[in-house]
Amino acid sequence: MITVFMHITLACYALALLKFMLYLFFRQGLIFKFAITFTILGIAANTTILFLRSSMTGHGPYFTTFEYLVFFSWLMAITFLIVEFKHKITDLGSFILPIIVVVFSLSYFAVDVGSDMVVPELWKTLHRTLSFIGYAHFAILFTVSIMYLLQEYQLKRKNFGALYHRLPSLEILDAVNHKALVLGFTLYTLGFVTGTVSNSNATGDDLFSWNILNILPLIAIWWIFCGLFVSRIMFGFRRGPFAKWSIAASIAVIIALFQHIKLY
Amino acid sequence: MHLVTVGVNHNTAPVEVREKLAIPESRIEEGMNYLNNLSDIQESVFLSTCNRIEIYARVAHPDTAIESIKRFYSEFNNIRPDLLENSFYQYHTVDTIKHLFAVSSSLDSMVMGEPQILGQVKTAYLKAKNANKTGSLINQLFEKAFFVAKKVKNETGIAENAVSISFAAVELARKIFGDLEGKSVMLIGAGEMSELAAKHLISYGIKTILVSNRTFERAVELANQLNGNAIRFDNFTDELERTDIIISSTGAPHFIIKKDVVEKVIHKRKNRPMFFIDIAVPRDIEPEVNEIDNVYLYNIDDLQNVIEVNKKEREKEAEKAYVIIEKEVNSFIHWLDSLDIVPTIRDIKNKAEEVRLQEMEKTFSKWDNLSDNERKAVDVLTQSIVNKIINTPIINLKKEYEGEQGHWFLKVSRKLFNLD
Repeated sequence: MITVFMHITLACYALALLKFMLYLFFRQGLIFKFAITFTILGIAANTTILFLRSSMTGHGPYFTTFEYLVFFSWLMAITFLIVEFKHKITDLGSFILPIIVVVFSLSYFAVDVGSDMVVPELWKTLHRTLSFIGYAHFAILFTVSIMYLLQEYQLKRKNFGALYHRLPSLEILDAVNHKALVLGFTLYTLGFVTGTVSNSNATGDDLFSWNILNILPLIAIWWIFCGLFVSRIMFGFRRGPFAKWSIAASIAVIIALFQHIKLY
Repeated sequence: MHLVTVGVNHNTAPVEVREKLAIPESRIEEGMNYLNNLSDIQESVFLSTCNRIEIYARVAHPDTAIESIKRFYSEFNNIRPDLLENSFYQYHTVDTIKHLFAVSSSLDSMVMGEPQILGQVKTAYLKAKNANKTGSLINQLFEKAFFVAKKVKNETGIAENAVSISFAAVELARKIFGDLEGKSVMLIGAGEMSELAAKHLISYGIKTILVSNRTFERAVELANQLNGNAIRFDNFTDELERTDIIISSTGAPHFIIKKDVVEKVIHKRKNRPMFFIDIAVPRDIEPEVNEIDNVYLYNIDDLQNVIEVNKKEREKEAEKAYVIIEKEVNSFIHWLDSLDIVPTIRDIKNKAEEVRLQEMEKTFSKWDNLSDNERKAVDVLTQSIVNKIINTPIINLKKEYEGEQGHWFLKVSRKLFNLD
């Protein structure tokens, strides 16, 4: 049953991506409506997978790489829709759907053992939920930063391609980046704290007795985003340079995550 | 029933010819009366703008009507006909419809996509309508043209990108700052073009306007006009920190804003972006200013380049617009055909026959003991009743169709018999 919904979800996300790409070129309102509809259908099918999976295992989708990827695709798609409805950046879909499609496709090849573990305690559930919502915001930060740099490049070089007319103003992109950073960083921090508590509960050790190899990349990430956050709020580190650093930080998150949850 | 257009525009006639044909506001009514007294013209609209003078008319005989309209142009304006002959273009029914749709959608304008033309067409139509010079056909044609223009505007980017220097500056400012509400602009040098750009920026919500000029009195004068504040030329760099958009157009022979100054300013502004528009020749602002993060510098050539790009973009959008127009012309022609007298009479007869056959069928199924002869008699009887009933309306319809309200009669007939 899950496999059927996997196919449906992938098909919906892929069709949404195709429609967003067509919309980028043809600017037809109807194509955009189709793109959004397919995204919503994809989310519905993705939700069904999560529901079926959780009712099978008795816990949330936080244990295997397969679950991480399905859950993360779902969160990215939902976060994207919220940003889209709030800020009306109609071409965000053409940039974020490729990421969603790739992440979701990876789940087909992902390791899926150890899911029938015991029901996790509350702290662990909180840690994983908060962290993943945080990562979804970083995905938005990453995507919007790319859009920002593309638009800024065209404005600076005075070399206007088709995208110039399609992409929104730098101000809007920077404002979305601001929100994505603030929310992403806050959720990541909360995820970090709850993770620490959960870890100490599980091992019975002191709150700060971490497995240093496992945790060090995450601390590094926290410091990077903390740096971005503080310099943005306090010193006006924004717009172009901020977008470049956001992309670097988002890539660092992926590397750190590979180390932390052994995505490979 | 035919539609024709005869006219001149910026492509076919130089301004010397157009100005002779343009009828002043005070003589428009006289012109319309003159036109409608011509025997061939049944309905008409007279459109006169600085780039085009056109007459749209419903006529009975297109060839003679076109000649009459051409004669009208020369007689009414006292111009020798041979001076005009090469300037005219003329269209007949389908091409007239296509032309009007293209004109209203601003595809035939000198600056493609400019918004004024639709208003001008509307005004011309209303004038003719109020003077009772239009009838059902021209009314439908123009209403459809306004609908098509709206559709083209909504579904294509024909009017989206700026094609004048001052609008290009506003558009770039909006790409950088988004909403311009609450932003500030400084004019350095009180030139005409910077004044125009400032006025456009104000119309997009900019409230804080600073004006600096070597002659302080001129700065004060312009500042008063724009509801802003004048600042002394020696002090303008002090004000850069609180200015988002700077439009410079002084006659200075050297750069008056240099990179190191802007670097300091942007640092003080905590990286809030700045947009410099340098429309002076020789340039006022050091080109390296554009290298600073969050600073955007455009000179007059850059703006010209933006306009060229936008014009190309509009041309691409025009292709989409012509597809829409083609579709709408077909739908209008289809409607027009349905209004023709022959298919309408045929439809009325078919409808009556259909009802007659249905009712006979019902009756015969109840009376199955009728002989063939009796059936034949009923058939003949019903046929004759139906023919008698519809005969008079059809004769009257044919008669009225030749008159001025012909299309209205057709429309009502189709409605009464529920033919569509």
